[in-house]
Amino acid sequence: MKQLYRQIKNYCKDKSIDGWIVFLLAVYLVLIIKLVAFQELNQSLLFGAYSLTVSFYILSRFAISFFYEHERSPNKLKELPTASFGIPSKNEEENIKETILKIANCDYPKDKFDIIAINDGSTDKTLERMFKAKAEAARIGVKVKIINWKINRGKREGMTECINQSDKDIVIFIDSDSFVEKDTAQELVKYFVDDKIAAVAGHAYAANAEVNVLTKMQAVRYFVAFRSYKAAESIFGSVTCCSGCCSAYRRIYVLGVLNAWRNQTFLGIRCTYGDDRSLTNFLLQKGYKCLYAPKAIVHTVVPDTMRKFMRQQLRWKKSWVRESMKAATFIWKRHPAMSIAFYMGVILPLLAPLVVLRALIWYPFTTHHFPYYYLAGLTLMAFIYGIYYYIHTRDRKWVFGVLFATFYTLILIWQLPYAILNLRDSRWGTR
Amino acid sequence: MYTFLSFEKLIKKSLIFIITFVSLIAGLIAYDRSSLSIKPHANFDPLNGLISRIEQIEKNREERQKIIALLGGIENTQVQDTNSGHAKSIPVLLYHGIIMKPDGINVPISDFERQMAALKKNGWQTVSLDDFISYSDGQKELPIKSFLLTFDDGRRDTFKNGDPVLAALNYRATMFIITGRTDKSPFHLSSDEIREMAQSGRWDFGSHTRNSHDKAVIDATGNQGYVLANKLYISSKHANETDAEYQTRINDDLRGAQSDLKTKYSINAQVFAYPFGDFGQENLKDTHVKDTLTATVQKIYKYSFIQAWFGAGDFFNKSHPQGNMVKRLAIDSSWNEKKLLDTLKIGEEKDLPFEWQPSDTNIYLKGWGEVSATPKFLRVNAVSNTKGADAFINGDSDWQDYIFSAHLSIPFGKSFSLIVGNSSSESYACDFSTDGISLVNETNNDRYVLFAVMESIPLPRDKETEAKVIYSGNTITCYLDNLWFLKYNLQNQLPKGGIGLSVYDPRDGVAELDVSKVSVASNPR
Repeated sequence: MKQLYRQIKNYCKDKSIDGWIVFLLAVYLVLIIKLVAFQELNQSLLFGAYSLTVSFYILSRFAISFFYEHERSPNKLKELPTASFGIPSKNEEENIKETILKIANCDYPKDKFDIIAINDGSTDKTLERMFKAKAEAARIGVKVKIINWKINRGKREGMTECINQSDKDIVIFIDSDSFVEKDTAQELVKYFVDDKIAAVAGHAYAANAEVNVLTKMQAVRYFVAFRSYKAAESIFGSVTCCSGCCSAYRRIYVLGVLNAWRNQTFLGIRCTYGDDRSLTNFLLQKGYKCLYAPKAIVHTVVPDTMRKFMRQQLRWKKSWVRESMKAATFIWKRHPAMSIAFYMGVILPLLAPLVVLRALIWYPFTTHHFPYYYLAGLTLMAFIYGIYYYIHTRDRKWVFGVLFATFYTLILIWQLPYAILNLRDSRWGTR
Repeated sequence: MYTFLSFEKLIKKSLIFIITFVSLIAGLIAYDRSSLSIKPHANFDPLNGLISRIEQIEKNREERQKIIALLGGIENTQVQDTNSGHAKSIPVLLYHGIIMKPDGINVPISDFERQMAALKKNGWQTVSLDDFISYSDGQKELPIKSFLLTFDDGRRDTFKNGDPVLAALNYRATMFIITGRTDKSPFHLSSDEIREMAQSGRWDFGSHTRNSHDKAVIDATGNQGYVLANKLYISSKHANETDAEYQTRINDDLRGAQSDLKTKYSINAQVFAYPFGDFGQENLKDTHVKDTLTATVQKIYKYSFIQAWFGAGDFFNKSHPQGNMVKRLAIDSSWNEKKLLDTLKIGEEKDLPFEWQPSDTNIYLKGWGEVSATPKFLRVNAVSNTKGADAFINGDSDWQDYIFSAHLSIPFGKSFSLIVGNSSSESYACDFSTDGISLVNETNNDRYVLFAVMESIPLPRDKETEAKVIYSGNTITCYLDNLWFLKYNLQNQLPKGGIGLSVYDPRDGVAELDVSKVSVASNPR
């Protein structure tokens, strides 16, 4: 009897049953709120529709990603492809050595991979550290090619150089401040199951998650964004952004879009930011599939100050606007469920500032009613966001997930209109 | 699609998903059915509250507006809906006495009651003199179906018999007083009565001269004429007044009347009614009189009131009336409420496009001859002592740039005309005659043939045809049957004006025009 009880208890812990119960309860409450919203739909078509759509969209991400599992079998490929690790880098003296060595120590066959590191006009000791790493890697039989540029040329040029310098089948781009795990490479390569697949995105954890509130929030955000949103996209083979911190590409396919991507201009100015999203977009446009590998782990450093964070987010939003406009022109060709979700995912954030303004300022102001509904809905969705993280990690940081979702909805969405107005400004901001 | 799930795993996951989904939906339905409600009183859209509040105010206003005037026998009187638009033109009614026993001239009290009640029932509402003045100034807009009710001569029977009717119907009227006759006979109002009227809030006042509501000798042969609009014959001098004498006389009288009203009753008389509607327009002997009289009146009074007659343009009034002269419709004992309502309907402003069919009765007003309607057509015909007949539409004096088309036949008669640009000062006519087509311009004094094509044309005797005039820009084009036409460019832009039809034959009582359809469409330049 006691054993059965313990078995059940362990099973529950294993599967996070407690988390699921809370999760489903919260979903139920959200659905009730939405039902009421639906009944009141005729009163304000736009905002009522927004309310229903945004909840449907978010819940659909969870629902769809439920059916995405990592590829359990070791490797369906007859032969393991060759791979190059590309690491464009500027002023990363702190992390670059560890980055390179972590890659060198992965469990991919040593004769099947090499590393290409680009020193892109660094003004610190990056080059020196690179050479040190090269020496150490050589000791375990890993070839490291270093290309030194005295003057900074930009990340796209760096990535281009990696593509051109490599003679391997696959190029895996790793950010200069991201640390791979032993099986990352294997896990990434596993997903090139057919010729249609051009890129595979890895899963990024926040390496410095425990530093402060901001990093904790980001840790949860990354997790949910990858595990839920990317998985939902990957089911349809349409991952819209294979993150630059850890993604694998079929070199030949990239060569096909290399020049267009390299020389991409926007509003008359050459594009610098959003290289990863942009490259993925070019490949998607050609009709290739892009997948997500949940077990291809990389630990990347996230901004730990608000200033750095906001700059990064602004960069991301600008590239989001630019690339979403482009993707909107061809996404409709892909699976309908993907297309609909995509267009929803473009329209909803654009409307978000309006909705928040109305719900939290105009509405209480004109009716003298406290926006219970809106805040209840908002809190519940944020809660669901956090619980999702808890279910999959059983980690205490889930609370920060709730905090992040709230922070995003009330504050971060305002960056989007700002980003749109400042599209011309192509400065990178601080890294 | 890429899921990388093994088949059994897929089944397992699907089952879990479906069960969860179904339970959630079941839970939702359970919530919906239950009496539980998480709804606070707040609505999702606060505007809804605002809208319902506005609706409430509108409803209250409508209810307040539904004042039911109780006057024995009058039910369902409609009160004017002040929200339905502004009047483009206002009729002014003229009554004189309201008498107990019919005298063949004045309106008996029962008729007056019926007429006023009929007006009220049909949505007509009086306006105050001040409002009418503001409207004429162009400063104020009045609701549709507004009218000014006026009485001339300051008669006691008008007040005694008419005031209760006004009170019951919430009507207001203007009385034009001959100031020299006050307190002189029981026939006219006394000062006390005038003061009583002023206090009642139902009466406004105007001047009807001091002592010039009379006839006197105007020439050597002893012919009499109205004193205000004629130079009097002074027998001792064996001559008529000079211009200066006439001027002085009328000026004294008119100013005198105004000051009478001011000093006795503190009434600022801004308006004046010409006795007998005569402002010198009939005086063919001495055309100066009209100019002098009207000029003098205009110096003293803001607006003067005359009488309108049919066939000479509209009898409704727009703002900024020409010469500051307001037209009035004189009602006498021959009128009944139906005629009154029909006449008012005839006079209302009409918009383009305009269409008329025989089933639309009483749109046409005749000038001379006879106008009658059968189910098939309107018949415009000469009577035994006339050589022709004409019919006009009222309320069309603002029309400009249009195409006037009539389907007609002329069983008997030498010619028929389509009249365009009809106003109180002039009109143009496309005259279709057995001799040819001509374009005629008729002013108050003269008739000019502007252009003619003298070529025998077949008039539609038995079979109907279409006659058309394009009156647009500065060009008039006349068509008959789209075959015979005449085109003429005037130097200046054609004036605004409405339409009419006429028929003629040199023999009396012969001409006859049958019109089955009339339509006027806008034809912008």
